Amino acid sequence: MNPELTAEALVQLVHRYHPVGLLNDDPRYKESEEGQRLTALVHAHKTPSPAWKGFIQRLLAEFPDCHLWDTTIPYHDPCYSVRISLPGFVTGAPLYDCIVCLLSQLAPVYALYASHTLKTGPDQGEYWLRYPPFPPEFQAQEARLAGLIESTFGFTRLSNDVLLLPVPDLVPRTANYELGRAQLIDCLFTHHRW
Amino acid sequence: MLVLLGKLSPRFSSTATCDIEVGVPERNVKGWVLDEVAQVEVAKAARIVLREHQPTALACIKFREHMQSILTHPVSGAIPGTTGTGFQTVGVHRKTFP
Repeated sequence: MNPELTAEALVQLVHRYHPVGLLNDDPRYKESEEGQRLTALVHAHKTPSPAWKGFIQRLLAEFPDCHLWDTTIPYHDPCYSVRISLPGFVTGAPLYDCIVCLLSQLAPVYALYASHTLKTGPDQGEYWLRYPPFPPEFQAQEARLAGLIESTFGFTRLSNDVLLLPVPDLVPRTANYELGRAQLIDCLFTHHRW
Repeated sequence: MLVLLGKLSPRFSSTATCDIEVGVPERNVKGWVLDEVAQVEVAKAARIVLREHQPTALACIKFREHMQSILTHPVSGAIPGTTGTGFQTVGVHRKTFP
């Protein structure tokens, strides 16, 4: 693996963009050198990059039977995100299975997770998120998606061990977290996963 | 929105304001999200959370987190994809009510 993308290097990297020991609603958070660095980065990405726009167009062409939802939120977290349903989903259907793709703006790394929702009635149903290995019905789409991301961006996919590494002294930029709760995935990408 | 949280414990300050920015998608897996629907659902979520009295010092983080979970839960949430954070967006004109 690229030495700049080891777990230790990524932990060091997120410490350059998040002040240690501060909640994100503490005024010192955004005033800090790290906080200002992160704000500058997310503001630089307020308009999606041409590469991201091109990637969304490729997804539309490559996954014509799937529902695509670009869930990137400007000014929030340092990542691009998109949800790609399994084939056949239509808006409003009770079963919504998708793979969520997160691309970091901090480092050339990405993550995928699977999301399953089945509504069986008003406020009733089942829901889960899963990190690899995905259930068999997700795996063909996962492989195609990973190939497309790597050929488009050249990014490296992070393993669960790295993604879920605790960074207890940091609080992600927009997470409603206290200290002690953050993991690397929250800081490199977003805490807002569903 | 800004919410004024009242004192519930002598250990904490008497009041605190909690700034909440609710980000609502224009469209999600249920279809288009109308502004009117978003306003009503956000207000309903805020009322639910306010009924649960919490110590002031922790209230704002918990308030935002709970409000987001009520709105966005894939099964029971009214508007999947919604975020509940502190103020993030620059350039938004602020209004007070009434």
